[in-house]
Amino acid sequence: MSKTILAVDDSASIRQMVAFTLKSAGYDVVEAVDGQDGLEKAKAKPVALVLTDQNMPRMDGLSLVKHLRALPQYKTAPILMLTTESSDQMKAQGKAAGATGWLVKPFDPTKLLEVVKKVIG
Amino acid sequence: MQQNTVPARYPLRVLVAHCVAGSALVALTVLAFDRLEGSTLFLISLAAGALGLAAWWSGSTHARGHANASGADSAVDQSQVDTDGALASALRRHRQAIVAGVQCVGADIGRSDALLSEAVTTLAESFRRMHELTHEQQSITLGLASDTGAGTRQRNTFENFVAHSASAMQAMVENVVNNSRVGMTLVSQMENVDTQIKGALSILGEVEGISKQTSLLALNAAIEAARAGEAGRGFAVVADEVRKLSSRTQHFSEQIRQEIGKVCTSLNETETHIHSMASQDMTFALHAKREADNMTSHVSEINAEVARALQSTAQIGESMQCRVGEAVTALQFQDITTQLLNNCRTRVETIVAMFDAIDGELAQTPGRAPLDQVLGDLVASTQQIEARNPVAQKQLVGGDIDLF
Repeated sequence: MSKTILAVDDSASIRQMVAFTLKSAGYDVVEAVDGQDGLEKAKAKPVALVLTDQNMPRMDGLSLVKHLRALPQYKTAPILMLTTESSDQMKAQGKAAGATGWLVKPFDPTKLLEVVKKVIG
Repeated sequence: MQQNTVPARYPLRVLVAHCVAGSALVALTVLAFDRLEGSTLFLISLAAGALGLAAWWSGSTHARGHANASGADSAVDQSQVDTDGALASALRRHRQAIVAGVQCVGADIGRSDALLSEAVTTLAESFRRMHELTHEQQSITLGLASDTGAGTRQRNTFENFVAHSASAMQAMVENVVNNSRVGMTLVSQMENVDTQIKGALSILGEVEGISKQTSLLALNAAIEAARAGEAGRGFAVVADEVRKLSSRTQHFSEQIRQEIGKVCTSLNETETHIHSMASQDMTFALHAKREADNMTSHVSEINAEVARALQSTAQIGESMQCRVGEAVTALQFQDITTQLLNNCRTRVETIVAMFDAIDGELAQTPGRAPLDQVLGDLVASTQQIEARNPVAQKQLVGGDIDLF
């Protein structure tokens, strides 16, 4: 049975490309349009990995990470940030919030899949 | 006269520097998006003029303070007040047009963002579909070309067919050659039979000779018997019987000769047919074998060529998937550009706020101290926008990856 990944991004094209890349590797993908939507979908159906953008309306990526880490089922689940933000300060905030890793956009599909395989097998 | 006085106290190079800096700031903000050419030029000129005016305002304030400190006369003060009033009036008069131009840029940025988003979404979907089709094509070609699966089964079936055909053709040719060889042996044996028949005919000639001689002897005996008279009557009967026997022998010999003649004719015809058949079959079989060998060889070459073509097609499919991957990376510029455009929009909104604030301050207090404060706050706000810019990427290469 294929693993489910939650892709959270307010950009439709990024969601489209993340979903396309992950689905072509055999994963199931659930899409969310912002942090709030992502949190609701993560609660509704447990996922193996959360891949989230940082700058989004309603709830940003770091807030989503903090909310998810507060949930028992996501205490140790891998959460990757996929964002244009690349400053060390932001990365430190991501690490402190409980993110598993930080990927700077644009992503290379091959490398994205390598990282995903590394964190969820 | 007033216009001559102000530039003398506010150096022209400072005014030009402010105008150039203002223009550059706005131009750098919008020139990244060449879709905005018309409104960009408009904005650059308006913003340059506005910032120049603001700088001029600020500079003249400083110059006036300096003049006061050095104890300049009251005529100069009056002149400065008039200049400030004229500038304030000009700013308020053109504010609406400037703000409209700036807002137009904001609207263009929004429209560009929407167009870009729609185009990239369509492109991404096209690439997704292309990737699916390429993957499908690659699976089919790999299936045909690989050493396992349907391709091999089909190729094996085809190769088996070719091998079986070649084998059957070989067996047929061998049979035909064998038959031909048997035919030639038959021809040879027919010749022997012909020789033997000729031998038999020769012997039959001897029999006929004996029969004629016997008939002659019987005739002589009959003559001698007739000459002997009554004493030769019995001998005459015997001679007559001998003559009859000789005559019958002659008759049978004739019949045998005729029958042997018919047999000879049949054997000769048979021999001719066998000879013809044996030589004809041999030629046809050898020709057919050569044709079959050529055809088998040709089919094998085609088969190998098809396998090579399938392999190449599979490699092209693989290469196309790599290119699609690169396209996926490149298409993400839309998200990055959207964030840059949002940053531009915030700057534009700040410029509008700047003019609103200038207008508000001028309406309330014509003095310059509060206006300086407002402008200072807005400049600080612009710097904060720059500091908050979420996009640091300079080119479209895959971003860094950090696993904590």
